[in-house]
Amino acid sequence: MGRRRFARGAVCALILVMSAGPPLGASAAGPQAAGDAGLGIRLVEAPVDRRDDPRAGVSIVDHLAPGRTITRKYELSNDTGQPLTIRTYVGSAVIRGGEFVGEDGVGNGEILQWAQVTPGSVPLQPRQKAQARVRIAVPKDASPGERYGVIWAETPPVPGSGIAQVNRIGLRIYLSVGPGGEPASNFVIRTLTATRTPDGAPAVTAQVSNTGGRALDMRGELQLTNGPGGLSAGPFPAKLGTTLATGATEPVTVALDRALPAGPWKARLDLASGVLKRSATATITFPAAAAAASPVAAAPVPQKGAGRSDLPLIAGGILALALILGIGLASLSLLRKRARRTSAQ
Amino acid sequence: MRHPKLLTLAVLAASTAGLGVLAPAAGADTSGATFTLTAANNVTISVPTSTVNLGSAAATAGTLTGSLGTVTVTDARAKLAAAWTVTASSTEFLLAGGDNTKAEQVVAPTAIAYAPGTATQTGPGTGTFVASPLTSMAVAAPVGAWTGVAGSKTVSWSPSLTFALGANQIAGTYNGTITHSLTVAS
Repeated sequence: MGRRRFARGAVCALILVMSAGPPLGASAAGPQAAGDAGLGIRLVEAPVDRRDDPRAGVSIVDHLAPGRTITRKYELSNDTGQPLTIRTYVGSAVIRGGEFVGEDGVGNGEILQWAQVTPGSVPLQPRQKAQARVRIAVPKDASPGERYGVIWAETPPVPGSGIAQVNRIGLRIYLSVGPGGEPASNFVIRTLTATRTPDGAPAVTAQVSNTGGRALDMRGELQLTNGPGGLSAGPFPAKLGTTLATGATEPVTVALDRALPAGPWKARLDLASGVLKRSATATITFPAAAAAASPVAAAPVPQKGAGRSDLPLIAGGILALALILGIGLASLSLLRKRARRTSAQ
Repeated sequence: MRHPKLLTLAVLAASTAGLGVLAPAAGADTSGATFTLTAANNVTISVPTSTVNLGSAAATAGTLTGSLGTVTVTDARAKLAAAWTVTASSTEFLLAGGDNTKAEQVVAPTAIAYAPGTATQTGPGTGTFVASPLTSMAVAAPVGAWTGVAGSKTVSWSPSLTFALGANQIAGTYNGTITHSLTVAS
């Protein structure tokens, strides 16, 4: 109890943080000088077979068989006005509540054993850039499934008493592991719900389910047509950054303009993750007060040109096969004829 | 009749080989081949240049609130459909020189709340920034997310932290680390 009395008795007892007096005299609370952007990271290499996939341009998205290894280059940049020693390392990540979240510190996923960066420490002068490399080696006995990680870049916290701050920036890793080809990606837009936020602005929330074998990052837009008096509105962008884990169903929200009449509207939502696209329509009416209308089942819209890219390849394959068989049979009958002729002689 | 049999086998082999070449390479392992991504500009996060002092409060006050300083994220890529998310988390705050096995000498991250405050946006880009407060900083959770339609943008916010103090909290200086983590979604 003596300790307790001491705590109560102190006049200005709890000094959470003492004034630190850092040697540079700089203040984190003060505004940064103009043009001092900060610490940056960027992916420099992407696989050729994902050239059309915008996700693969900003994150490491790959499928590896157990026992396989890949390396990818990335770039660190110092856009501040002072020299920095950047620490770079791999941490694990999780998908939680529709968000891709890098775990505190390094986390404890398997990816920590599989992925290594070189060099781990990069000194950079102001406005300087440098490349580093990550090597991801999947062990032969790795079980199939997706693993998530982040390649982080950070500067060590300034020493001193008080609240140390670390601001880090990272590249996401979506690594699928398994034998054979990559698990197919797919998703379904299940319902559209018209809502009104407490501040009076209408919004549409779609329930989207990931029915494929890989995590997805949603982007897309909403178009409103057939409104009151034949009005049309949009396209309105969907909130980006919603990450769907495999098997998960999460809301994807589209914020709309306050001036929109209540409806009814024919709403068409186009969503995409990488090169995979899905569209759905539903007739919705925005509630008058801040609330959510009942969800409306969304009717899927067939994608234009779906599967078109595979058709010539398949047709060509069949044609070539027929050609080879034809030549084979022709030469076979020719040989038979010749054989008959020789045996007749 | 030995010749035709041999030939049939050869024809079969040729046709399967042809199929192998022409069929879509479903299981093909092409992850080794890469191309180079070029970009003049980047997404960056500001680098803290000092520790932060939240000031002091009486041990009996119950809470202590203070500003953490400005966090600035610049997306200079000027791309269509840009998105990034910042998460925040905290370590335990430990009494300097204290016995950190005793609850009254530690402020747990579950007792630390994060209020992002009002964000300021500069630059020509259009889009929305959604700031989210946290009632606990024990696990990394989003505090700010940008969805851009087009153009470059700089977003700054000055979060404030609120420490909930125990009734028996020991007086002294407490140290810990707050981490902001930025990843780009698009």
